[in-house]
Amino acid sequence: MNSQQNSVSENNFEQYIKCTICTVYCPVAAVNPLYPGPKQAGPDGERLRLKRKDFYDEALKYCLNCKRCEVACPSNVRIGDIIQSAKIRYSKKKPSLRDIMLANTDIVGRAASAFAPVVNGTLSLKPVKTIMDTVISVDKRRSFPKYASHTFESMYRKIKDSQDTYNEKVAFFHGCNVNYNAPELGMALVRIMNSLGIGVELLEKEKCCGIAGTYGFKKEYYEASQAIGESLFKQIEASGADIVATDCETCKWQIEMSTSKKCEHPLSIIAEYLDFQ
Amino acid sequence: MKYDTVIIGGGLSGLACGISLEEKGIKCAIISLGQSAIHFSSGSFDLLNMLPDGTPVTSPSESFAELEKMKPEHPYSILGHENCIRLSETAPDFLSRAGLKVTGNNRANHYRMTPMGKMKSTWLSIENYLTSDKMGSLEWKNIAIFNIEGFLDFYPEFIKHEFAKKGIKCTCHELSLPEFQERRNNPSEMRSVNIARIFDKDENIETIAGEICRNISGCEAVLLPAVTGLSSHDALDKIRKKVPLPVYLVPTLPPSIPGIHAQQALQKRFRELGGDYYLGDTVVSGKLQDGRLLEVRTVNHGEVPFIAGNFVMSTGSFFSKGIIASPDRIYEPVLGIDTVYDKNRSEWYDKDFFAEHKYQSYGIRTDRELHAMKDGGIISNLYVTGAGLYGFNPIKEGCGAGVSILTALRTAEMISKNYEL
Repeated sequence: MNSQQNSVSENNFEQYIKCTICTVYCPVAAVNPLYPGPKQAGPDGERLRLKRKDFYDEALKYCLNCKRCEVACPSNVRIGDIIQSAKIRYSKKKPSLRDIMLANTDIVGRAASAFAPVVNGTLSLKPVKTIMDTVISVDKRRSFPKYASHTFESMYRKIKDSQDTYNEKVAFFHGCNVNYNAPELGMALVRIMNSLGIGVELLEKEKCCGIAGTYGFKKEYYEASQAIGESLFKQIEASGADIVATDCETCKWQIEMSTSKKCEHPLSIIAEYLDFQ
Repeated sequence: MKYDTVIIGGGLSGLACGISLEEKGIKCAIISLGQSAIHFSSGSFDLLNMLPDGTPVTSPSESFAELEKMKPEHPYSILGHENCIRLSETAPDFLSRAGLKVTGNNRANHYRMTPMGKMKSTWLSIENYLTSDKMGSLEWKNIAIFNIEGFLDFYPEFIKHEFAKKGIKCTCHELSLPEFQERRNNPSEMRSVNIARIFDKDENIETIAGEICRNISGCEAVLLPAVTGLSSHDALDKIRKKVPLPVYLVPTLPPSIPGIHAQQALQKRFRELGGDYYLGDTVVSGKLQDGRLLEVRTVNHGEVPFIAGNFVMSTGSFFSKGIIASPDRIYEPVLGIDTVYDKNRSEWYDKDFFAEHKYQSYGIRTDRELHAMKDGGIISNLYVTGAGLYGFNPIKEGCGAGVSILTALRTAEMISKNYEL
């Protein structure tokens, strides 16, 4: 057997032919001359990094992982994944306080929600934003989303019993944004589903599903990813729901990969329902 | 996903077919694995530069009949010389409707300058290129060529050398802007694409035009590499307004900015006509039944199939993975339709690199109406167009773009006839 024929390289790295088409479509390379471009950051640089780790360039942090390079690549090289893998494998940087805060939306959300009026007021003040810019490098030109005084979960609890009157049920995996920043979105979903004759259930203690975008797809993180989502999967199985609704696509994939339930975007459920009318 | 026609492959041929069908009111989807080989094309389109026996062609419209006699398996022969003449006549307007202005016609090939300074025969060239009606003739005696400092994919010295042979004097200059210098921090990224972005900014046009004007005394024309703007299409016009001499473009090494513009123009035209272009999706399987293709499935669409009355395979050749060469066979990877190649691998190529190689003609087998075949049986609603077809040598015969466009236009005609019945 010809081993060359059957060699499949990680992320299709060996299909790379230096065509540069990815660089044409990279939104970061278009505006930031410090970013070497998906070609050099990705497969071109990988050839060097495989020889010596210190060829790694911290400028790879500018990659958004938006995947436009992968959509454009005529050779099916998973350029975004090569760059992310390189960051994980070779970067010497450790997560800072800022990184931890931005990543743990659940903990920050809970804390901020408890003191919402104070937090919202403070975060919109120019001097505060300037301090955050200098101390933890959160750009002062950005505006923070407002935190709600009442979480979606607390608002739902008030109408929970009314949902038992419905024969068909949907389990709603609401995520952090709806809970802490936009509870009215969650309530709107409940109203729409109810008007279609579908009741909405929440899980007992909603937790992160573990997929985190492309994180859970990487072999070295598979176990961690599944462990993070384990309590969520158990709750989904134990719920009486016919279907799980979430507006996050990657959460949808994870829930379908890890439970026996079908998971759909709320709009899909509504559209399907309307089709049957 | 239901469409009248689903086209697999979104390059020159797939887009030409899709645009033509949409212009006839037929609803199409194009599914494309990635961006196309047009990104590397020169910006000129070849119809027929040489007959299979090596005779140079000066008038394609007068040579189709002879080609048909010489090589019945050629896609032009399958179309028939009358169709070839008729369809190639409509091509310039067709491209112009898509926003691609070209010069040239099918009655007489013209000559377009190559990055090496030679003049190459071709059918249509994107406007702004340096072209001439006769090989070796340009009306000027003194030309200024400007390159970007640090840009390694353009060779003014070669061009100067070729011009000297024709008795034309050439001075070479380098344009230097702070922004160009910034790009040089990543030398391997000092490519046409990054330089073209710099021409998108108006402030830079001022500076560049100024530099040019300071260096053209005694010259009759100005040549620039074809990198004048990526997202903008009027950078060259702006430069021309400020420079008192004719300014023309010369192609560079890839990526080709005119090629990228061509792809984007064709894609835009297809979408504006109502076609759906699925970029970054790969067709992985199809359902064949009783000699017809019922549906295809793709990576991104998972369980949801694409169902259509007609399908077109425009997946390209070896470069675009429309045809795959493995050590022992040449095959079509999406549906496994019939291909033509010699069983003995040593016949695929010639030891002399510059000789004609048989593999260049290998490709997908069709019947005389461009229908695909599987195990010898015709698939009546699956057409094949473009580079993946068997029976022509795009390099030797200089007919690549012509085959892509003409087979696409003819297929669109045949499909729309199906709807009239």
